Order: sequence, then C-alpha cells, then structure tokens
Amino acid sequence: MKTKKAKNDFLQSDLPSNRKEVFFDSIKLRYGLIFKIGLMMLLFSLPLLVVLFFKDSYLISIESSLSKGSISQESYNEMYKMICRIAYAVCVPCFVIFSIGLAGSLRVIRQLAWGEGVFFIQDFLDGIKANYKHYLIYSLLFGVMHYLGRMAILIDIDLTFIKVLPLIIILSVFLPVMLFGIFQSQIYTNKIWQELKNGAILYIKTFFTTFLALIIICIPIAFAFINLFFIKMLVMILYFVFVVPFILLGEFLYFNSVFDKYINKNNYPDIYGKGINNKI
Amino acid sequence: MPKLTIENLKVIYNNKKGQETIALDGFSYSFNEGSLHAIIGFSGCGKTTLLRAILGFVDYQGKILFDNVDAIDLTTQERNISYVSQQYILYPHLTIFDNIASPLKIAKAPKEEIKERVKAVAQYLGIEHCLTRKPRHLSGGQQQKVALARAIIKKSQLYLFDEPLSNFDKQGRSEVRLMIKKFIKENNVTALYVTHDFQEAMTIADNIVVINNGKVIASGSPKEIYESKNPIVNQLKCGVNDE
Repeated sequence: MKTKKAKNDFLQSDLPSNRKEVFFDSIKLRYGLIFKIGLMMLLFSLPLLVVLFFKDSYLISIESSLSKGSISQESYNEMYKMICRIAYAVCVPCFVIFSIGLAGSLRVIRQLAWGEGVFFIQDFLDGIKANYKHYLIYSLLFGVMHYLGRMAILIDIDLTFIKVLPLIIILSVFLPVMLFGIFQSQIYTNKIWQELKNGAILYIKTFFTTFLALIIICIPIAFAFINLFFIKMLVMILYFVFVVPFILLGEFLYFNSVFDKYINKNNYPDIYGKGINNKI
Repeated sequence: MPKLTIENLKVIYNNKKGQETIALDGFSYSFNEGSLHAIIGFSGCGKTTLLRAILGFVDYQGKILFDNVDAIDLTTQERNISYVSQQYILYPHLTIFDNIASPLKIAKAPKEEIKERVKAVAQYLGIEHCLTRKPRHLSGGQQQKVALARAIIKKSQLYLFDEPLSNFDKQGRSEVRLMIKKFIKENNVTALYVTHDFQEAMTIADNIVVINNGKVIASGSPKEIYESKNPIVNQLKCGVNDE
C-alpha cells in the first residue's frame, strides 16, 4: 500500500481562511464523520418521525372514511382536531429526545469546525453531558410553544392569517433567540437566561442574516406540502441523514462568526476566529 | 529504559526455490540504555533485518534480551517498541491528527491526554497546521514527519528508526535529525537508528555499530569509528557503497 503524496509541503496558508471555506473543506475532508452525525440525528429524531407517521396515517384513514361517506364532515373535523392535539402534545417529549441528539451532534460539529481532533462517541457523549440541561429546557420551551402555535391553527375562525400568526411569531421571534442560546451553550458556560438575553440582543443586531439562517432551519415546514405519505416519510428520513448535519455545520459556523464579531473579539480572544487560518 | 542485549543472532531467509540467504550471522552486541545507537553498513548487510528481529517480525536463532528477559517470552506489544521505517504507511482515510493519535487510541489513553500529546508532538515536528488534513495533502517529507510523530507519541521502551530521513531534502534531513536527537536526549530513551549514510551516523549517534555480512565489525563512539582503520569503515566513510 502506497500513500499518495502532494508535490509540495502543505503550508499554513493553505488552510481555510474564512468560515465558508471551513464549511466546504469539512465536507470534502470529513464526509464520513458528517454522515455519522446524520445517522445519530436520525436515531434521535425517530420518536418524532414515528409520531408524525402515525398522525399522518390516522389523518389519511379519516380522510378516506370521509370520502367514502362513513363519517360526517363534523365527525371528521372533531377527529382531525383530536389527532392533531394528541400528536403535537406527544411531539413535546419527542423534541426533548431530539435535543439530546442535537447536544451531542453539535459538540462533534464544534470540534470539526474548530479543527480539533474528533473523538466521535466521546465528544458526542461529552456534548450531551455538558449541555443536556439547557437543551432540555430549550426543547421543552419550543415544544410547548409549537404545540400552542399548532393549536391556534385549529381554532374555528375564518381568518387564516390570525390562525397561523402565533406559529409565525414562534418561528421568527422565539426560535432564533433560542438558536442563539443553543449555539452559545456549546461554546460558553452561561446561565440559560443569560443565553436568551444575549440571543435576543444578537438577533436584533444581525436580524437579516440570522433570518436567512432561520429560513434554512425551517425547511421541514415544506414537508407538509408533500401529499404522498410514503414519499414524505422517505424524504424526512433522508433529510435527517443527509441534510441536517450540513445545516448544523453551516449554522454553527454562522452563529460562531456572529459570536466572534460581538463576543469573542473583546471578551474571548483565545477562541476568536478559531478554526480558520486568517483571523477575521 | 531497558538494556538491549543481542547474543549470537542468526536470521536466515529462504526463497521460493529453497535457497538460503544469511541476513544476520552471529550478531552479538549490548546496546546501552538511554543512548542513540546508529547501525551502519552497506545495503544488504542485515541492518533492517536486525530491527525486524527485535520487533519480532522474523524468525531467528540466538537471543534478544530486554533487561535480561528473553524477547521470545514477550509479545510484540509487551516489547513496547516504536518503529519508523523508510516505507512508512499512514492511514489514508484518517486525518493527520487521527494518524498520530492512533497508538494512544489503541492504548485507550484519555481523550484530553491524546489531544495534548498530539498537539505537542505535532508542534515539535512543525506539522501542527496539518492536523486536520489527510495524508494525501502532505508532501513526502511531511508524511515522514507524521510517521515519526506517530512513533514518538507513544512512550516506548525502545525506538527503532530505519532510514527515517529518506524522504527529506538536505535541509529537512538535518532539521529532523536534530529533532530526533533532541527527543532521545530529553526523554532519555534508547534508540537504534539504521542508516547507510556515514555522515548522518556521525552527527546523530552517541554510539555507532558497523555491520558487514550480518556481523558487527566495529563499534564505538563517533570519534572512535571515524579514527578506525577498518577497511569497511573507511569505505563507508568515503561514501563507497556496494549498491
């Protein structure tokens, strides 16, 4: 077995000089690791997928009953609401389980983005150990808000905009602030209220770019528009394995660049520009 | 560090036709601990075979003793030897960090210790900026440094270097030679350093062992070897090689 060699020495200046280069460099060099992260994310999102699977199955079943005329429109409406209520309530603990996987995966991604040695299992477990309390609170908070937002959609009023408004507010106001908190947890040791306070300030300061980053995170909303049941499940599984890790890596690099600009430059110079060759 | 004693070592290779080649023929020597011993000789004289026998990679007759314990009674792991060959092999799918860390991972060292030691050894060899790369991104010299780093990261009883500078240019050679020498001195370990370059042996070693036809023909400090009247030593000195 012969190792391939480069013609010239690998120099410090050949290292990625900005976060965008770190992103593509990581994908090119560590696709195996990123795939492993995807599998872990799929594992921790399984309860959520199962709940959504049963929710959709029941909804298809009552829709079929309605079209056959075995149930009335009123019964259908009642059953539809009941299924949604139960499913979105069960989603709350599923978000908590998902957040545990997220805590581990983001630690591995942090190591990757910072150019540190990665010990997959150990780093994954360390990430959970260090952040599970914060992630538990964030996921519970998000789960409950998500439930309330979904319940608002089920209210019997004709104004669609009013019905979806709570969910829009949750996704566009509370979620980004929580995201700032989630990414801060991986880097700093702050109290949760401090993370949320910093998150709110940073969201205001970086509104437009963070909003763009948020749109990428909200991609799963588009799955609701897939009508074919099994295609939808397949897309969701593939999404968790092949898309989520790239999104997490990209989002980590984005939030890290925000922290560099507003926090690290003055307060934590030792981690300022970590993982890139030319410091910002 | 153990004292390495070799008594009447004989290694015979058989080819497919059943013909015998004697690689080492009654090699005897006692290597003092905490020193860097250069093994020098023409190609085919048995230098690499000696290292392979110490590693337990070839069958031999005679005795190899680590602090008076026969190597036969020790597994390769128990011998606790680090080895760098000229034909080093790096794991192509692993990063440089993971390549260097591999002996410590096998030894189940704690994560933080591995990180610290990999960084320290990479810094020592000037390859800390390469840690996130894969071997194919590095030049031959840098890859050789990685192989070296992987060998010295493990705290071993004995270090065996088999022409470890073959991939370096002149400047790289002298730089890494000094690094190896410094490492051996700082850590007070025993090392055997195989080379066919007389000048290299003179600059790096505390003690030089000259082999010819599988036997020790001269040994001593670099000064003693330099002043030796032995004709083989003189040929090596003049750079005459039978290759």
